[in-house]
Amino acid sequence: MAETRLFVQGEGMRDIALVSLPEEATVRDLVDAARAQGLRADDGEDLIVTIENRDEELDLDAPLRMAGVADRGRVHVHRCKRVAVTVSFNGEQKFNDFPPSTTVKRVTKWALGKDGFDLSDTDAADHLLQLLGSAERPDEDTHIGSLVEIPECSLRFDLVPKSRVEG
Amino acid sequence: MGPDERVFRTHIERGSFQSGEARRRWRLVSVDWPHAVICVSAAPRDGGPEEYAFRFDLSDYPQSSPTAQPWDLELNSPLDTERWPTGASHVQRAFNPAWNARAIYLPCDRRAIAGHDAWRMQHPQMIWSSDNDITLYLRILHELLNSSDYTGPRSS
Repeated sequence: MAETRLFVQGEGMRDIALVSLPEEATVRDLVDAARAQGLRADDGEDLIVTIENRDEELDLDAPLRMAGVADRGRVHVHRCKRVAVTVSFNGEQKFNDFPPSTTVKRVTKWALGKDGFDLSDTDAADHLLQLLGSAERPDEDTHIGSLVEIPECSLRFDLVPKSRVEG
Repeated sequence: MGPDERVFRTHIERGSFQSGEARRRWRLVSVDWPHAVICVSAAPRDGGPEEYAFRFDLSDYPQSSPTAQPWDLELNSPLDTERWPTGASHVQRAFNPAWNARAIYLPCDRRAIAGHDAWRMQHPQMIWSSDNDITLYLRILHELLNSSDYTGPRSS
């Protein structure tokens, strides 16, 4: 039987999960697979399923292919519809909100760009996001939703220089 | 199959490693325990390759951190040092055959961390622990080879 393999991230799942589903599986089947991989949401709770870096919520009863989820696709499952993001840099703060399926890479691009702190290309290349109050620097592939859990649909970062090994 | 190899083979089947392969950041070439050869993609540079191969020594994985050296896939031997990647500053420091032609000067490398205890405080996100998997090391290599500091192979 042909299978669809998907990269899934979600609420309470700190690692990317690789799940295999039959080709005719639905978005709801994907949610069940995510629960088996640690998704923190009980049956019956309202869940939002989105494709990576996209806003549109997928119909839970739709077959994956009809929902636009292709083989090796990347999806996110969460109870938050949006995540409020605050980034601090040099005493200033910038605010925005994103779907939970947004990658750290995309949030970083906003924070570095003209709508954020508007860093030069040289400075931008040497900065990244670090979770406020920790030394954790999430990989750029991480979906921001996997860093937050209901009822806290918000995230705070510091924009910090990349760590360079000297001697 | 020993427990270290078993854990490694589980890790390379997991989402984090497979995701990096799918994004063409790295690709597994071979496993001949305790060694594995993995290629990491590099940014385009004049005279530079699309990727560099690294042979990892994964003895006692994941309890002990890996150590890696640039590798010549065609000759199945250590890469000629003139073909090692280099850069203006930190990439050059990381890939320094004059320091050690069999390791990479990074906190995640088993040979490099020895004698550099200060790195544990200075670079905590690069320090290996038994909770990590090979993608920690690979992400650091990929960031270096795709940074603005990377200029291509030493010979170019």
